[in-house]
Amino acid sequence: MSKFQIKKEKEIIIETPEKIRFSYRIAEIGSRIAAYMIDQLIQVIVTLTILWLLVGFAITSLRDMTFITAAFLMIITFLMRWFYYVLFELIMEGQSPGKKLMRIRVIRDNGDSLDFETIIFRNFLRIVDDFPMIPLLGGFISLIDPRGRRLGDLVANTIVVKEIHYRLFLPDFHVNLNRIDPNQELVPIKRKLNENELYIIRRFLNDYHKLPVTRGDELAWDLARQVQEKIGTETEINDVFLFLERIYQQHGTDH
Amino acid sequence: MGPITKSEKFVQSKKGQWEKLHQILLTLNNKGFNSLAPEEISIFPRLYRLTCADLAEARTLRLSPDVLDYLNQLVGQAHKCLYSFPPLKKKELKDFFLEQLPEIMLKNWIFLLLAAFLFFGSYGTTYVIVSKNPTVAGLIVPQATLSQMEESYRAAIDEQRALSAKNFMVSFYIQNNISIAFASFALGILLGVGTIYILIYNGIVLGAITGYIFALGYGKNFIHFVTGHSVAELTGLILAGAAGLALGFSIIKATRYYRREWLGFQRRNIFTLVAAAGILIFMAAMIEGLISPSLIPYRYKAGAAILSVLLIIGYFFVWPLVYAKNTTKRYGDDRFY
Repeated sequence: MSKFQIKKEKEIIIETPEKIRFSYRIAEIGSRIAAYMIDQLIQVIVTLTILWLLVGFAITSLRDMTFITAAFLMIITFLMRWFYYVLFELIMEGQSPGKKLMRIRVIRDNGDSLDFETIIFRNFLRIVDDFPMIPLLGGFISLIDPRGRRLGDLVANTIVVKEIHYRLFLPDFHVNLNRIDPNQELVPIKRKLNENELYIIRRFLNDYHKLPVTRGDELAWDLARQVQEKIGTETEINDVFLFLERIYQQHGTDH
Repeated sequence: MGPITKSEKFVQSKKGQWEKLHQILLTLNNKGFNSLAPEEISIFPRLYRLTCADLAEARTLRLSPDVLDYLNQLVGQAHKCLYSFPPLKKKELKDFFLEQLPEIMLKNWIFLLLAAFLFFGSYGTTYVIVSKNPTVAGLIVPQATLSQMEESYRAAIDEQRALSAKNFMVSFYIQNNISIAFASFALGILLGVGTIYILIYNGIVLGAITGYIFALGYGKNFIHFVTGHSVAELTGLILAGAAGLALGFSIIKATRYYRREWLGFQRRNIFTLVAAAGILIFMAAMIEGLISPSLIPYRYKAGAAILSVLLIIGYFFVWPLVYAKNTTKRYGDDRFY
């Protein structure tokens, strides 16, 4: 039986001058590699497009543009190699197009936003990360570092974190709650559920209607059995959703 | 039906102020500081502190994870906005070039000297060896490159060479030379070994080519070509090398700080050196591509070289000494010294 538990993710904790700590979830290496590949792809596409345009122009105008094409190509490759990430992390505040798609962002490890110096250090060291003499140095260091930082991150004091938009999950099953007969006997509760467990019930009751009916039922029974175990009752369940709602309602602080 | 659990009650009583903070943050991020109303600006820090307190309280009460995550995110975003860097002002750019850059240059004299020693040492040694015995050059530089070089310098600069491929050469010099400079900085992270390698390698190759060309008797043509840009380019290379050495040394050096912290203190130093190197090499590449191969009389090219020497000495050594007498402002990190 699967356990309804919330997986703990790797976090970086930042303490503010107000002595309050908040945290960011550290990006997984998978999404970082994906972001890297997307960025590389964009660089290749842009370079090729410019090359084709130049070649096309040369062909239509029947002029010898070998040198000017090569010159453009070299400048573009140079700019891409050194300044693609610098530019985007500067204007998109720590994101590049690939990072934006993968929903990750670079921050400084004290929580401040990035400044120019940091961005330069972080991105110029990319050349060491894929240094031909020590293959995959960056990936290796990133794997053994507990926070997944590559060399550039270590030098610039930056960390790549997940960019998730969290929202509050308030109950919207009030209509159903009205179904509960106020005169009905309370479910005996020996041990109260904590806020975490109530949160799980709340999210389930909010969203189960999005699941296929059989799967919803299955999960509801699974959850109800675990809830029974937690609160220590053996009452018979007729309507499993109603049972969960009643348990949830009985956890109002008045009871 | 009202709120039931602790979390819901907490959210209901505080939600208004969180949403207000969220609204302010949205305006700040999308439209900038200037579009905030005056009362929003004055209320922003207070809302931030209140939300900080809410986060602490929510943690103590062990409220549900959605509330904790939401508050955590809100505090993080507000913190980032409140403690973000002010945009770069014109004055800072002026300060950077007139005060910070020369001063840091002077402070890092040891690394500059070391980089210059490594580069010119290997350059000089190889030059002497190869000019005495040109066949050695074949061991250092591929024969194809050597014959290409020989081809280039056999004749004096002529009209044909001056005009062909001008743009091409400029962009080649820019991308090649700046890439080498940046790489010699970045490879400093390998405890400086990468930088030392690049400095010595470039010294040896350039020394071998120079020695070879001189041994063949094309020295005059060679001098004609390189004089104009050599000063700026080599200074740039040395500056980038010094940045790499400073980076490597700040990792080796034993201090009472963590190595990453210590590196943090040195960042301004190193960054300034790299920036200066980039600018110098860019200028050198322009000269190398546009002036050096042109038919301008030699005295103008020599003039450009002398001018660069004077500018570099004046800017990097004389100016900071004069300036240092009249100011108490300090840039970079003094802990180093």
